[in-house]
Amino acid sequence: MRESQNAQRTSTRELVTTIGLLGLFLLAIINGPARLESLGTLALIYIVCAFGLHLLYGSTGLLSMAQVGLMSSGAFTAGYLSFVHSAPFLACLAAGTVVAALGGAVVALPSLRAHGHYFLIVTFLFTVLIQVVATNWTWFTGGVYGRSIVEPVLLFGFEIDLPRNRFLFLFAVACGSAVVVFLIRRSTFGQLLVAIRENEQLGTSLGLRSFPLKVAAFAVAGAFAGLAGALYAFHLRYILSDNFGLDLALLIVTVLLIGGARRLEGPVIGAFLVVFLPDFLHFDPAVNTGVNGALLIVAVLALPGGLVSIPTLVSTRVQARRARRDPALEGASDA
Amino acid sequence: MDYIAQQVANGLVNGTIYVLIALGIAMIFALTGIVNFAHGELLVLAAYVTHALIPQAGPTLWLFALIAIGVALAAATVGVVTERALFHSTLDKPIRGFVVSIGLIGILHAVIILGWGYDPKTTPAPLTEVVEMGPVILTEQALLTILVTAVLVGVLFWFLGSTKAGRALHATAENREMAGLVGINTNVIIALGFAIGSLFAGLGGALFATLYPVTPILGGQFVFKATAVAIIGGLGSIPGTVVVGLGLGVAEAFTSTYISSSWSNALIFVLMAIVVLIRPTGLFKGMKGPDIHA
Repeated sequence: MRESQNAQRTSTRELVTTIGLLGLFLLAIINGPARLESLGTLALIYIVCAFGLHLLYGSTGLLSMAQVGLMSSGAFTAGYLSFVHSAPFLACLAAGTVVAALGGAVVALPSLRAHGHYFLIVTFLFTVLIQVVATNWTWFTGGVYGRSIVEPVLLFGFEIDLPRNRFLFLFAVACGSAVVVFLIRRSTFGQLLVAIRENEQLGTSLGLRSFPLKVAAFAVAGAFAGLAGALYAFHLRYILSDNFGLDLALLIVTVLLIGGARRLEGPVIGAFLVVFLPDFLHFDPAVNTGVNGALLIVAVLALPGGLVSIPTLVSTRVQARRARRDPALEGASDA
Repeated sequence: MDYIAQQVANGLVNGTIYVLIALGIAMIFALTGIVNFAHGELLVLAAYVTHALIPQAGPTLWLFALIAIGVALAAATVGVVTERALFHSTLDKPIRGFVVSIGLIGILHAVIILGWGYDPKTTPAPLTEVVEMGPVILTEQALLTILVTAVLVGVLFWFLGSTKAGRALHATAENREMAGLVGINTNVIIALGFAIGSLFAGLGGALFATLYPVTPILGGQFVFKATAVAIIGGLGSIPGTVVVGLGLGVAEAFTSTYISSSWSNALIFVLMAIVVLIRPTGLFKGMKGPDIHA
């Protein structure tokens, strides 16, 4: 019981830090040069997408590579509704979210039959398959010509097309998403997902039906991906199936893993690093992909807990050193 | 009828490239449990290096052989270096190895684009004549590719089945710990597996460059398809990989003529989804490979 209370307190702290970090970025970008607003919007979109993967991988232990495929399904749904039916902005977002959530469940059904590696590969191949379908399904996606979005973005009658307004709107969406992820993680559903990650067999032996839970986790992750995709479509104003390929898949996983997969702050730190570091260092896009790859390798090999784990790592090391210097403390810290 | 025979022949040529790359993926997987997604990028890098080395006037067969062997050996070295530097520390958690390989794709991709840009590059082949065999017309270079692949597959089959090192490799794939207990230096064997797999990718790249234009996005396409081939063939089974790889080449040749070339890219994934659902271990009996837990 105490452990679950502790866990709840930590997750509340995570939410507070996450919102705090987002707020810091908001201040930095609003006061910075105007071109940062567009990059900031992009970072926030990645964050929303990575939040979904955070639930799926951080909580449930399923590293799905289908996230970018689902993101593209949300983007093209929004693009189709906006371009062909002139649907309102919020309706497009909602439709993109729902379609990708359903898509998540559909992807989950075959993927979950595969285990370990096969799971990773199958989900990765779904991203590729969705890309191939998007390239060919011309009436829905615009095919090789892509889909441009010409409708003005209206929110309750206000136009939010200005980069500043769009950034502020995205900021609100990212904060809202953080709260939703937090609530999901605190719910019974969220706790059961952790049980699956920690010991699925034990859970099953206690009567936990893990399969529907995992499908639901996929759907929730898909919903975040779809929302992010729809926002991406409205941000870029022109989407192509090529946008949702290997580069973006690599980027989203990097965002999650370099930041820290198990903590809510992870995607926030990861996204800002991945988006602003290349801009700051004036990288060519090709170099960028290489740097993202290198960051991913560093994260996996040297920093499995991501950047958010550094304070904990440092403090445990300091404690260990203190304990070594003063043997009397050693027993105390164990107790 | 003649047309169909020609499609089969074209498909077989494409299939050989799938076989060469899928064999490397399967071998590395069987030994380490790591699905090395960077393998496709390695093949494309080898193709670009071949392109850079071959004189535009066209090489003689001997010069081409020399370049191809050099490129293959260089690729094998890259394979061993990445194993020692990156993959080795992920052996107890192969999923992390997979993520490392995705990072490696980013790095190799950057090298390729910075080195050669986005434009397709064509490379002159040493053999330019066309051979007519009944209804089928193929270039000599395509025949050479098929021949080289056949010889390589034969050598690999013999190596794994009849040499001491090959048996050790097989043993390590079955059970790394037990293999270590009976005195096999599994670290050397794993490095050897990476070397052989990367050698195949290097040679595949050299051959590919002379058959088709090379573009930077090929690596992704190859690795997805080759992984699917390796899975459907039963990861680690040589006959399975060969049959499925060649079969995929032929099936793609037909779908791209009768349906559309961009849809033919989706074919393998649909096949794989079906195989994974019905028979997750693939169609052929592969090496056991390590047990993978997420």
